[in-house]
Amino acid sequence: MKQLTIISGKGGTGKTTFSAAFSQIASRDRVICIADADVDAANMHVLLGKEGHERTPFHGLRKASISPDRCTNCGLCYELCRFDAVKKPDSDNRAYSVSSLLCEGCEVCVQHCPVSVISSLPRQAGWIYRGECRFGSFHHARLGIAEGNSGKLVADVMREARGECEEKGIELLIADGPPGTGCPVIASLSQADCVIIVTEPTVSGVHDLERVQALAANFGAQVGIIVNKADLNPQVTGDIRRHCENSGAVFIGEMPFDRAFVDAMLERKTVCEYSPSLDEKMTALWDKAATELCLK
Amino acid sequence: MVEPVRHKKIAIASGKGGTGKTTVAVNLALAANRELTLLDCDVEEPNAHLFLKTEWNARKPVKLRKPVVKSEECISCGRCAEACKFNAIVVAKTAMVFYELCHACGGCSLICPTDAIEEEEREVGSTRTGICGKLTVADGYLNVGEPQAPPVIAAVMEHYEPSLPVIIDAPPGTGCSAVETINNCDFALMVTEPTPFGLNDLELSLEMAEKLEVPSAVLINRSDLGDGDVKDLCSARGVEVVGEIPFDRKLAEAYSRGIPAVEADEHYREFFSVLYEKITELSK
Repeated sequence: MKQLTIISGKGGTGKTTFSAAFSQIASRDRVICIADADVDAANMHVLLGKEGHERTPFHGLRKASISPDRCTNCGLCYELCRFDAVKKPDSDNRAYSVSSLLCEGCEVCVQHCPVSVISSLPRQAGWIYRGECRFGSFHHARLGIAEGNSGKLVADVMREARGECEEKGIELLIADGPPGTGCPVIASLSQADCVIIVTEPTVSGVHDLERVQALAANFGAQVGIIVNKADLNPQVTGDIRRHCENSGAVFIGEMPFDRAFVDAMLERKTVCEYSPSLDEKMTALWDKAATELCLK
Repeated sequence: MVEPVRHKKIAIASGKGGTGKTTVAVNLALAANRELTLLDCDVEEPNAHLFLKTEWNARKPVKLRKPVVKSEECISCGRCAEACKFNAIVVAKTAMVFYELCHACGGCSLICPTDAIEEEEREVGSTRTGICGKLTVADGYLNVGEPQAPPVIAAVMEHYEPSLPVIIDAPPGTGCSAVETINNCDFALMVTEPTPFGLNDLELSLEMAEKLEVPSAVLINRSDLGDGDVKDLCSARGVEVVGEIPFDRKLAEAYSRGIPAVEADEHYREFFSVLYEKITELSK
């Protein structure tokens, strides 16, 4: 089984649009599995649908809770907590208390409370969904409001998707990754065989491309690069093409700015479903990516 | 005696990436035309500096205390691995730390019965400060490969100066990084686009702000590329739409070269200056 993760560094370059289009094209000649690993702002389901999908609760890290009746107010938990999650007694609370928003679930306070009045409670921090869509099986998630732990949720979604691939002998997993370089991106990349970075020819696009490409290199994944909205700055597009040649990445190709990207989304369609000419362009990009990144 | 003014912390945020947060943050700061602090808290991909000619005068590492195992003193009892809730320690012959998973909570060194785990400060990122005309600018970089952005975000936030107005470029999404930033702000301007993706992510961001009890308003970027659902959502939730920016190819081209909107076209200076007054008023 091969895992392709599609990322961008900078947000809004068209990652999800490309992920959905490539999923559709790949599904024409083989069975695939799709994962939306951008759980902070999951959007694939807007195009692929999620009706009838089965959901299971996602448990984030446990959160500490102090039982006020037996707390002796010694303050050790306050001293030990490195996340400023323990609050001193005040007019609202006569004992020490824990902010669940700031608690990272390390359980240091639980382990060291001299009178054992701190417990750690399981916490549901979102939902994991799995089901079928028109291009194959589809795994996605919804992070609970103001919950941290998105890295863990991405890891769980990817584990389930990979599990299904192994169980059913599915040979290609396409994951729509998150923006940035932190925990969630790392979780979406850690087992990727190859990575497509969708960027744009702007100062921000290039800056973020270089960082996220260095991150992908840490995982030994083969990298291909696509420049979206390439005509906004042909000179920078050229720079990115040369950058690929010098950095060992594959320059897969470019796509001009096209209002049809938005029009397709408004109809909840992939760009391939919306426009035959975009289908042709996308298919050419996919064929090149699949050949160069050994996904055939 | 006059009570010193404490300026409100205004975040420019969005659920979806690429909606124009950085454009709005930078141009608001420039159009305000007064002394002001601009903090770029998107430490995974800080971009505000690309649009400003900042003279940097200080760089400070952000360090976390991470465990180091003294192998000669480790008895392989496994208590550290058991205590670590992040699976960052594995005990074979001796304990081994996986730094990319470590949250620097200090639990392993506290629990080790032979004091075989010491802590060492390790750099996870850095912050910079500088001057750009009337602006004081600070931003942060999370080192590539480091998972945890919140400590670097907190370090950027330390450059908030209550006597000056402040504009904060927030990270996208609704996860740890966004929560860390918005939770420390007094007001959030959500930048969105009127598309189904923009709508979906805006709803999550508004719910996040509500849960964190941070009042918010919405700015619709590329307002002519989409439909009316975002406006309907805002009116249903009672959130004010404070402005709209239609798609402008010239603006996108200027952006691509690192030129701020207010310099590309005078019309935007007027627009952002009015917007600045409006959100300053709203955040009071």
